[in-house]
Amino acid sequence: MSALNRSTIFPGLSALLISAAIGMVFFYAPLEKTMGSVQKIFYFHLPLALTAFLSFFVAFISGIMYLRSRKRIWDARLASSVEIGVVLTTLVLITGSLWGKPIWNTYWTWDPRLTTSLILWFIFASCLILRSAVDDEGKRATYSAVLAIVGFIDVPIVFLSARLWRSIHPTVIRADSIGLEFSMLMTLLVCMAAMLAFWVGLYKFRVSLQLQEAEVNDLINQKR
Amino acid sequence: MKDTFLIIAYMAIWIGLSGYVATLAHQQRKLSLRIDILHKRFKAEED
Repeated sequence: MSALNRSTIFPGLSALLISAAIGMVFFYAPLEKTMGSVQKIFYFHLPLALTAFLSFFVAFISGIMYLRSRKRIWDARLASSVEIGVVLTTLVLITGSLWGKPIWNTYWTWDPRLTTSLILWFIFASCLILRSAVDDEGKRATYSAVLAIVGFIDVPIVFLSARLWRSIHPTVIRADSIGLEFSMLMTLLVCMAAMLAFWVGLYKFRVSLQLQEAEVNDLINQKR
Repeated sequence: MKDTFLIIAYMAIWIGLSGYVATLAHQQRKLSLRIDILHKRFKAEED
């Protein structure tokens, strides 16, 4: 496979899947009885949240690998996944608020799921701030690796929060079943696949950009 | 009323994601420019 084909496979696949997902959300998935049309926010709200969790999991693994090997590639992977994770979590919080207003009659409530999600956003947003504040490459990578490892503790807490504590947030994925009818489940799976393909393309692009930037900076420092 | 929230939510998703991709594309363009400038500078130094 040529380099061009390799670099376009995920953007192409995600464009195709996102088009199919939007079509299914608006023309295939049925209207939910109680919530009506606003429930359709769910089809992207959940995939955004799960891909955000995936980003923070990759950051967690990259943090461990960086502390073990001290290789630049792991720092690039960590920085990229944290940045993507923060963007996705921001969109999860925005779409959740927009879904909450017509259903709960409020944009925000200090529910366990919402509060732990906001804490997750603050933890990883602070990792981005920390990275921009520390000039020394080694220290920056070490500090952000530690923060990503410790911060990841919040991810299972967010996931379990609606099950462990009293929460008004719905739980779709349960241990014994998925609370969705067939056409809704199919739409959700296509949306999930679309977001996953988009995530992989974005992650690969961001990592290569991060590595190129580091190499250019090395070159400038060598010539000084 | 509910449709308005649905439309705003989907607009937020696509503006957010496409905005982020556009930011990365802009960063890449800036990086290519830096590489070009460095290449010219190094070549001039060698000559």
